[in-house]
Amino acid sequence: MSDVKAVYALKNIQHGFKGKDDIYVDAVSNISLEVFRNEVLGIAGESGCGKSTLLKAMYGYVKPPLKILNGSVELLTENKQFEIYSLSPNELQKNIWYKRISYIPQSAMNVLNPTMRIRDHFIELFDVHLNMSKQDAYIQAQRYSENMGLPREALDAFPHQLSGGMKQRAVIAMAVSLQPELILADEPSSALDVITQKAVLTLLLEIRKKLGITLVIVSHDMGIHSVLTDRIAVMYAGKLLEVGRTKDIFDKPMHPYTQALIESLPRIGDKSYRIGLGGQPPDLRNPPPGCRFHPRCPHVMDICKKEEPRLIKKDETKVACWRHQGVT
Amino acid sequence: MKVSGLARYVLFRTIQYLATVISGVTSVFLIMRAMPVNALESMLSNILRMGEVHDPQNLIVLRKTFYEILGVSESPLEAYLKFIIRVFTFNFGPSMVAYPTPAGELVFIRLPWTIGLLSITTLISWIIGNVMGTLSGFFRSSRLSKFLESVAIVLYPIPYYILAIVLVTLFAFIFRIFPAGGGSSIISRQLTFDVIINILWHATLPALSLVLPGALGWAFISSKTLASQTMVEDYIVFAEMRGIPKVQILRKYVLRNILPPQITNLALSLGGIFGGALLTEIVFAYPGVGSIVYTAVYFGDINTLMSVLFFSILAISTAVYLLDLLYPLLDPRIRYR
Amino acid sequence: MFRAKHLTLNALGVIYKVYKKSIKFRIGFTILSMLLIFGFIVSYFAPMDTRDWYVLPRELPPSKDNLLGTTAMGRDVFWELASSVKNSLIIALITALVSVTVSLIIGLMAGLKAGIIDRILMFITDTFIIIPGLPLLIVVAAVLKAWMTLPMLGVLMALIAWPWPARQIRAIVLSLRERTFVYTAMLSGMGSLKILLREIMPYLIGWILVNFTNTILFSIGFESGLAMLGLSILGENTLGVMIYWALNYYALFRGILWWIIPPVVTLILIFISLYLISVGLSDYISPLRGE
Repeated sequence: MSDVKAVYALKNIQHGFKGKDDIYVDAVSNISLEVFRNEVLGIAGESGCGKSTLLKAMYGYVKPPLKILNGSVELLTENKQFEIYSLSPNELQKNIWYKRISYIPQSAMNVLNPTMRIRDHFIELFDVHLNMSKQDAYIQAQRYSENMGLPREALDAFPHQLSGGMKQRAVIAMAVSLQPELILADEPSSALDVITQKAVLTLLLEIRKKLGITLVIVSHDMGIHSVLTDRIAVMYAGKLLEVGRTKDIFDKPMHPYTQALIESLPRIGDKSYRIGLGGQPPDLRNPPPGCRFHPRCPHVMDICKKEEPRLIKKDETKVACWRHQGVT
Repeated sequence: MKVSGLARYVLFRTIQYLATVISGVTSVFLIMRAMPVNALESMLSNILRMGEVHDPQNLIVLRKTFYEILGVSESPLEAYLKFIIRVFTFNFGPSMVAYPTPAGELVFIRLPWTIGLLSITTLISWIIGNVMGTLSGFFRSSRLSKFLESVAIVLYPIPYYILAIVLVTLFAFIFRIFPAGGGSSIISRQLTFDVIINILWHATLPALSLVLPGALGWAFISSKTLASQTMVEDYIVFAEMRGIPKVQILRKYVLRNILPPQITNLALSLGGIFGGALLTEIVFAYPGVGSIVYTAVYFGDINTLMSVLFFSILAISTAVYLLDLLYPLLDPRIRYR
Repeated sequence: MFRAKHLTLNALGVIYKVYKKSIKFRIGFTILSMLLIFGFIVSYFAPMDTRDWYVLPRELPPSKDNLLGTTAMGRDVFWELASSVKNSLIIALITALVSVTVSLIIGLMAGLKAGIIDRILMFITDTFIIIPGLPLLIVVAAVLKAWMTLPMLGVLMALIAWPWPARQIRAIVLSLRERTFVYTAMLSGMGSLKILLREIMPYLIGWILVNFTNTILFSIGFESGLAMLGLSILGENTLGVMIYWALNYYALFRGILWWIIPPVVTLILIFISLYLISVGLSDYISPLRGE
């Protein structure tokens, strides 16, 4: 792939939760990742592995009990460079949020102001970030929502009058409306029924095609990743296990965990018995030593229990597993 | 023909209003009927002993009126009918404290004072309390917020009239700033500017003893609680993540969403506020409904007390009804179904 | 049937936990305990029947013999205060017990059974919420004046205290009902009573404690209000009655401050301590309910 320019670079992010009982939950552990311009990067993993936390960290939305211990997140645009963690909340609010980076939350059920019409949500965005007048903002809002499959009536409605799918579409439309460089989507369709899911995914694909936006999608649903993403990063228990092109991950998953994930997907015509992974994800207040996956790994070796494998490039994919590092 | 959600709401609330008044009146009727007859008899004899009524003819009429007002005459159905008629024509028989002036009239002329004092102080308390409470809930950790909360903790549980006693002692006796009581010292039929100022001056201390525990008490606490709860709602978090400035979030997201439940809270508290105001009026000898209550109790003037009761039921039900009608203006979920 | 012992142990457990965590609760609890000791234990040692008048010389300032002086009716202020605290609290306790029980029953029934029963119960409840309490009780108390006893007073106040908590309980039950575990229980055929005991009670315990405390608070305040009008039991000692007599004899204007100030201050202390306890409890239970 030529013209590979990183848009977003995360380096050694260390994030966690410190609750009232002062115990640290290591939710995002030493993750380094790059997002390339115009690509769709998927972050996969089961619930609780830290992907949503990572996404919020990438966005720069850090509220207690979430704590940043370490690391840097850089946004590299054509002429400027922003170090997200060193920006004050004020600067984030004024310059970055929704202008350069957008965020689509997990469930659109309750994210819209019940006392504001949908169009007012748009108008507000344009007013706050672009200083647009009300009339201009309204016209813009109409343009965008038509593209997103939001009829005129939906714009004039209040949130409670819309279905879940409509609300999600409105939220996505809002995220795109200011033409940011990067969009972060947290489980964009998980809270919806299957039919609406398809509509939302189709919408995202269209956005990607028409507007050429860089997109990071977090989802536990491998099916979504297979349809939408160019590259996938697999997370488990706060750690990055494998990063590679979607096609490679699905054809030749390297990490045992990734293999289990791919295996778990139903395939038409395949009636073989599926064996799930035994065990549970570890308690992140007290993560296991060495490779965090070792208690559940069917190919576990001695070294896995003691030392943590680093993310090393093998062929086109990066994988963190002792088996792929010439150890037997 | 499609009836709009709003019209349906108004219709429903109106029916509810009427039904509530009727059921309130009926409940009182039932309670009175549950009283031991001896109690009523002894009340009657107490009143008669006070020596206001001498003529034996009047006595018979009085006893009959009395029984009707209390709803204990003859059979239940007849008594109920007569009871209802009396209530809705505001005919509570002659008062004892100012025989033979009708009890209803005694209360009626005092109503404007009470309603005036109550509505203004409740409005002011509500506005001040809500503003402070919302700000306090929004900026949870500020020192001012914590200070206000401590003040509220002290003021909220203390009944109005105790504060009234404290205020009267301080500002009317020790520091002779305000008058110790009464509604006005100018007796005039016209509402000239001087008269109005005089009235307001007299009303200051009573108003203060209602506004202070109100604004810093229930209004503050309920709005702070609501604001704090709203702060963690998804739509607030998402608004923040969209880069909407905090002040705007406070105004358009927090405040607007607190108002409907706060109106409900207000409506539910009106009964308590009214009772507190009555007692405060007694402390200040304010010429509202409260002033007649004390004397009426002393004389056992049940007619007057009943008329006070029904006027207050009507007043509060109406106030709640009006507040209910405000609701759709604030909550779009009611306007559009 | 209601496994009262189970509930009480549960309640005590909550109290213990809140005591450890909340400073507001600790302060309130301490003040209240001291008042309780004063009212219930110290009062037993009174050297006279505190209801008798003209036992002592009138209007004596505080001295070695009479710690807080005497009243215009020849009574010792200190001992009168102690028994007043006791009586006020007993009345309040009765109000709280009756009110909490009634509101629990009604709230639970309305919340669990829904449909027409719910509508009827809520209509009755709303009616009583709207009827202003003080005027109603004034009428009732005026009629029953000669018959009034301490327990009766307590029950009367419960009459106006129950509606609002009943509504709240119903709201809690409704929101819990929506949660899966109650649905599962209902679908699996458990009788409603059983569902109630098992699934819902644990959530309600904390709230019941708060409501109990608030009702006591309300009752003491209300009784003193009634007393001010002369509608309480003027022959007995309650804080309200003490203030009534003091005001009646113009203690304030005549400078017999040792008569009027102690009951007022004690009253304020009771209010503040109860409220602190209530706030401490509710601070504790809100996060548990996922608020």
